Amino acid sequence: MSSGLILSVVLVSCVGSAWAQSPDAMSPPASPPPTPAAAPAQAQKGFLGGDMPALDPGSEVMTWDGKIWNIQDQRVFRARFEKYLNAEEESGAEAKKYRDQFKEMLDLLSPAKMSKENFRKAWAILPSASSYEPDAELCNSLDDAIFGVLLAQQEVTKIDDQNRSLAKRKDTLEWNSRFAADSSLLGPAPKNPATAEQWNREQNLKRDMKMQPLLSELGEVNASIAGNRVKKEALRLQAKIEFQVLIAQLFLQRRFEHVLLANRFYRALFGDGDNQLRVADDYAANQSAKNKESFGDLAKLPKTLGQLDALANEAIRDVKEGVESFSFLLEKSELKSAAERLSEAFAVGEYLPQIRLLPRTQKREVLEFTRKSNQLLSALEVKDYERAGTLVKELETMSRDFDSAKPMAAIETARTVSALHLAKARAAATSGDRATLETELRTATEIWPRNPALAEVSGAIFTQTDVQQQALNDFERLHAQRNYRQIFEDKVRFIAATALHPDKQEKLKQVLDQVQHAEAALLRAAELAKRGDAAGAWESVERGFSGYPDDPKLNQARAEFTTQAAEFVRSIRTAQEMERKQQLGSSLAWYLRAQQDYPNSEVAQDGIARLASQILAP
Amino acid sequence: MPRRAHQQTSPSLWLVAAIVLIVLAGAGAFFFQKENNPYRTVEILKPSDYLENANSLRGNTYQVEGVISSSLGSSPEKGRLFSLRISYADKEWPLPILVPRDYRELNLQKGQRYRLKVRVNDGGLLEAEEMSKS
Amino acid sequence: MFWSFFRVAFAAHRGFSWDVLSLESVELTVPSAEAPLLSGITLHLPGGHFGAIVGPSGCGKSTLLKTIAGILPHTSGTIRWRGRNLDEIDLDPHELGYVPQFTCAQPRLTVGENLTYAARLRRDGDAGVIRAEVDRVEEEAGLTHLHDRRAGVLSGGQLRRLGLAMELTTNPSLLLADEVTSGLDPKSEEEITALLASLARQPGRLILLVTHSLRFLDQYDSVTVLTEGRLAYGAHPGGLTSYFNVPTPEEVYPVLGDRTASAWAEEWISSPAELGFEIEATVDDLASELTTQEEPKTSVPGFLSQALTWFSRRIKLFARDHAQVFLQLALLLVFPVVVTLFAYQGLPAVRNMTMNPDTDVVQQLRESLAFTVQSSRIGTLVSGLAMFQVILLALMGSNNSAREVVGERVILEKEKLAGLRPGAALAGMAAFLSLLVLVQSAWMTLFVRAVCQFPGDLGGQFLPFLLLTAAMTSLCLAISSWAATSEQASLGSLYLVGFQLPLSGAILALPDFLGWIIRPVISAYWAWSGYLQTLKDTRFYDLVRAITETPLANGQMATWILTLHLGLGLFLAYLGIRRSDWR
Repeated sequence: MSSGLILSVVLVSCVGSAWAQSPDAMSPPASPPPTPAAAPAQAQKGFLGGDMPALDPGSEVMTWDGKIWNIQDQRVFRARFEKYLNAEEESGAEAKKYRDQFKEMLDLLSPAKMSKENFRKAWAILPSASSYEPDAELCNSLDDAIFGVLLAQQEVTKIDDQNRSLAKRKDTLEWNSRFAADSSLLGPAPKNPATAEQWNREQNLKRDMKMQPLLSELGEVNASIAGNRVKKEALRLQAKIEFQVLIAQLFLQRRFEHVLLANRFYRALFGDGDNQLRVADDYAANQSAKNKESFGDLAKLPKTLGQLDALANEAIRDVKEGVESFSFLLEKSELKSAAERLSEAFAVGEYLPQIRLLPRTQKREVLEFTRKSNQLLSALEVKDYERAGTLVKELETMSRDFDSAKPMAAIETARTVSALHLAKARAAATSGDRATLETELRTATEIWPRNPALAEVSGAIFTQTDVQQQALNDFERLHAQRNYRQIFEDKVRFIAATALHPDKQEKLKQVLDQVQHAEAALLRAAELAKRGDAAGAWESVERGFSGYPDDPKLNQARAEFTTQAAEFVRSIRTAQEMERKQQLGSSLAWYLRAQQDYPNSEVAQDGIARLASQILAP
Repeated sequence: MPRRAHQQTSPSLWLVAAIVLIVLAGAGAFFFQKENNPYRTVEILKPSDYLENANSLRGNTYQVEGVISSSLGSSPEKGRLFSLRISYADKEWPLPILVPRDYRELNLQKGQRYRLKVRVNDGGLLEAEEMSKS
Repeated sequence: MFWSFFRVAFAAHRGFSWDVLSLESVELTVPSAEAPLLSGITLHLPGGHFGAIVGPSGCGKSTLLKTIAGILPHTSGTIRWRGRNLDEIDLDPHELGYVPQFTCAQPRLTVGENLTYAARLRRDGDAGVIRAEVDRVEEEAGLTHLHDRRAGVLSGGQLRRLGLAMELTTNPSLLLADEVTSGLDPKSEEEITALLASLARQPGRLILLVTHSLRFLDQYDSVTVLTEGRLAYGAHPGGLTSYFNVPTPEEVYPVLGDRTASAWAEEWISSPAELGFEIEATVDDLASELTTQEEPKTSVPGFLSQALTWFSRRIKLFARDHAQVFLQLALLLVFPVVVTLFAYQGLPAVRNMTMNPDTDVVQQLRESLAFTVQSSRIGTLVSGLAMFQVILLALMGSNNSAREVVGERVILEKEKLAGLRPGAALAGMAAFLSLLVLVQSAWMTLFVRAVCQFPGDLGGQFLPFLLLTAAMTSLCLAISSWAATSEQASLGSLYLVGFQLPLSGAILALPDFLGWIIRPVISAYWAWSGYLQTLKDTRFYDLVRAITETPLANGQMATWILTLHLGLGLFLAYLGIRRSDWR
């Protein structure tokens, strides 16, 4: 049994990667599953050469190619398995017919019955077998492959014929050239040695000229013959390789029955005893990209078709046994083990009849359990430990052999650790340690995202942070709008919000100062206005205005007082304008006038002093 | 013809005397008016004009009469700058006057009433050319 | 009889009449009286004649004499002197001598001085001539022994003789004596009458004496009896008693009352008795009479001479008037001291206001207030000092001349009658007063200036004060020359000075329109202004300007106006002196 297990593991590993290519795979497996586990101690090395995938039965973890994962954690696998469990058994008439066809083909191509006649018969069945949907057109592919091989043979025959005719031609040419060489002399040689030499040369030249086309054609013919030979070889090999590739593909796709069938066909076609898989060796470099893809891992395949055959048989047997044990366990209500057995069997021989023909009722029982365990796994995956906890309880009731210890342990650990971190976060929150708060919260969230306490704490914190953030946003917005008064109105909120941001605090302070300033100016102005001193009020507002020109209240006050102290304001404005125009005399006169209207005017006094020093400057 | 012992003054003599007196007084008033207002012939400056556009009055000479109200500054080269309060059109107008160095000996105090001949200089400022207490 | 022949012979000759004085139907009516004062007076009187005009009180004797003198203008009729109508050609000053009832000799001067001055005023000549003249008249009047006696201590009779002597200095042809013998004791009366009679012996001289005494009828060459303004009798005194049918002359007056005046007049007219008085003129007298007409007249002294005489006389009188001297000195010394009492520590220093435009308002207001207080204090002080000086000088000025003319009015009239030019008298007065004015104004200016340390030009301060004092003096002189009595003059001067201060505008400003009308005639204003102008360069001027709304006139104007006032005063004084104002 252990060797079978090992074998099944091997197959599974192949399957794992092949699933990525299989048409009805849901999605390629993403990153390796997150639950780390100890590297299995019994990682097999060297089986069949190379790094073989190995299952650690103790932890249900597989290692292969340095990657470690739990069989059952493969989400894709789980999904497929559930789908399978839900599906009806394939016991319909079509299914039966398909099985019978297969049986017949295998029988016709068995070594004892091998003959051209049977070959053709078997070959004829292929298309109709392909009409069965779950066949996934594989029989068609086989059919095509066979046809391709036959075509190649035809080609070879053609080439042979060609070569024969070429050989004939070659003979002809050889004879002709011999002849041309011999009868090239057309006249006596001249007496004169010089001219004789010349005449010799001329003669040679003539000869060459005559022989040239012959020789060249001969060369061509030889080349063609050689080339044809090579072509022939290549064709043969190509056909072989392509067929081999197909078989390997079928194996990788866990279509073990197809493998067996294809093997039989191959033997029938290439009955030259050469059943070495050449796929990887010579062609890896030369093959097209498509093939290369398919054969990414084929370096790890067994080297002979025979081996492949054996493996396929083994897989079939393994599945059978698995299903049997499944049924047995099911009776015993050991759903967990039953599910495991079934899932293993399914993983290996998904397409095998044993799996396909399993009654639904049986499957259903497992389905529930499987679903729940899948949910449990999902919950654990998403770290919804609460739900996981619930599921564990349910599973316990469902299956007698469900080991709740491990999941519970995981759950409890997660819960505790999360709570710990949360406590730390709380502490950090109260102490204002923002960094720690974030770290702890994050950790707690990572560990148990759906910790209800988390919601409560972070709710509080995040509300607070949220509020703070909102306040900060508002502050930034109002600041950008230069709506300082609004900031002033809400200053309590903003002071709290900017407590931990010194730069923003600085800005806030500036803003508040400005508004304060403006308020003070307004207050003073109001006081003065009450005493009937409109000019003084206006000045006060003007002073405030310079600091914060956009304040609507200041603007309003300014307009009001300008009307009330119209004469004075007019004097000041005119004075300022004159000053701008550098009409010092006029400006000074207007300032004096303003001062006369309102003796306490600082604006006027400043203006006068300024102009006086300007006028009196040397 | 009245006897020497009985002389009387005729009324016409009184009339003539009165007329002569008035004429003499008037003549005196006219001739000595000059001292009262040495700048009598100079145009009086209208403060409203000056405030409106001093530049348009540049180069002109005017007379002003007012009370010194405050000192706005002084410099050894340029002289002293005062504010003179002028009454015109029932209003008080303060105007800046530059008293050049030539008058640096003059003790100018707040409350003094002066009559000045001023010239509007290039900067639009009133520069005192002559001044006397009024 | 011989002379009757002459009379008849010459009477037809119109060009020549041996009457020196003839009155033809002289009449005098005044609006105030119903009946004429004189009516139908016809008289013919020769030279070398001593005539008496008698009649009961109020009959018009003095009136007639005044009419002859020209003091009272007759309304109709003719008065001829030596053939010429006096209305056309008045008597020469030397021809006429008029002795009023109450002697107008200066009591303070001696007899000799009185006579000397009178002589000097009336006739040309150096000191020797005058002296000789004075001696002559003294002898004539029998006053030689009283030469150095003060006129004030003379007896009545002596005074009358002095008065007479004063008139005699010009050797008048017509000597009119108004009741010079009245009120004297019988001895004096007799003496004076005898004197007059003797004086009349001079050929060509006619002496008319108004008297109501009939005691010395035998002395008179003729007697003219008046009753109620009408001529009752005008002939030799011998025929008096027979005409009036009375035993004694004393009984004439009562008899006069029996009839109406007009009846008596008619009777006299209708019965032109022989003139009755004997012309005891010898041929010599006649000859001398004839030659008297071409007698060289002694000339009146020149203007300057008269002015100087009057001036020196005035000085002498002033010097002799100790009370006046004392008063003047007192005023001179006390008034300035009174002024300096207010600032004997000198004038206070002026605190200025800050000129910085940016001292705060409260500070400025406080300073302004302090300055106002100071202004009112110092400004008032300075202005007050100036005005005080002015007023006191005005007072002094008025005191100088208030009674100048009015006090000597009669003497002045008499002298004028004797040839004194009014202008010369004025000049003499003015010269004298100028001395006072000069001293007063100079002393006031200097003293106050020294004590109170007034700044400003001295000359500029002195001149207005000088002119003011002079103007005030001259104006009060004018008042004096026009006033009827001393009291009137004093009152007028007082009002003049009294109104100077309130109307000057120094204390309270006059309303504008009034000010322009009134100020020109208020000398004090001009002097005050002119004085303050000298302070123009000082802060005091500013303070004064600050407290007063009255415009201050400039110095030149002040000088001019004050000069005009001075001139006005002198002019009015001249007119006032010129006019005749006999009491």
